[in-house]
Amino acid sequence: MDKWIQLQNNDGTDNLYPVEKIDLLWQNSSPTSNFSAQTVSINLSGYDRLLLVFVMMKSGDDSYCQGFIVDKSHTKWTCGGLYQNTYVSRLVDVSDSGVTFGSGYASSTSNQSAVIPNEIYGIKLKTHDLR
Amino acid sequence: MLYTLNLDSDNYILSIAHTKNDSVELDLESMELAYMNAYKYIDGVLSLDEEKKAELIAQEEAEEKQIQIAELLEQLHSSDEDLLAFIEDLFSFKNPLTFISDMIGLMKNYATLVANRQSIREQIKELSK
Repeated sequence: MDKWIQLQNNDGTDNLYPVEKIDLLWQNSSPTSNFSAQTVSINLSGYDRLLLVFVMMKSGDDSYCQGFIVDKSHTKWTCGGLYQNTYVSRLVDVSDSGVTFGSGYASSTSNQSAVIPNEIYGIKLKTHDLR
Repeated sequence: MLYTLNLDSDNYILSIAHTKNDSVELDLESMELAYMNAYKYIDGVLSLDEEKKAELIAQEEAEEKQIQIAELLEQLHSSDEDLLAFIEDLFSFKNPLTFISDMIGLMKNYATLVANRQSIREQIKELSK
């Protein structure tokens, strides 16, 4: 049975696209530790999209995750969201050789316990052409 | 268990992860993961740099203070708005029949507002030491 993924088209509409494979490439073994800016080296040349899963804020047992699907053709992304009325974010730079994570931020203050990378999945689509 | 380490240029651990290329044997349960960045990994040997750990603790405390100061400044800003509302209220029309009790109420609110602002300022001063 085919796997499908919902992606935004170039015109802003959404469509389901067939997936050839989804691989878990990197999994943080200590997602409750602070995560400073760094480059995670992984060969991403065989994938079209990445699913990045983050722990949005490490706060004792009260942590929650959010996933972002990023397109490798746009290299720089800001992954962020609201955590207890505070906007938390982290800049992400994607290339064929890996993912560079910038510093985490809570509002405008640098905070390495915000938006901690938890998992990186590589996604290869059956078709590369979005509408 | 085997892991993949990401190290900085001084061989301090940046992150510990599982990948397809796991090759470093570690016992995470024996590590102080809250201070993961204070561990060095050189030639297969893991060691905790106590000096770096102390730096991380101090940095964490400084960040915590920074967050508390930002919250207090926000409270002070919100109290500025209360002060403006008080001034508007003070110069608004007063019913002559209830003038004295209205003014007493206003002055009580003003005293609470001033005491609150003073307390916030003192907390900021204490945190800034």
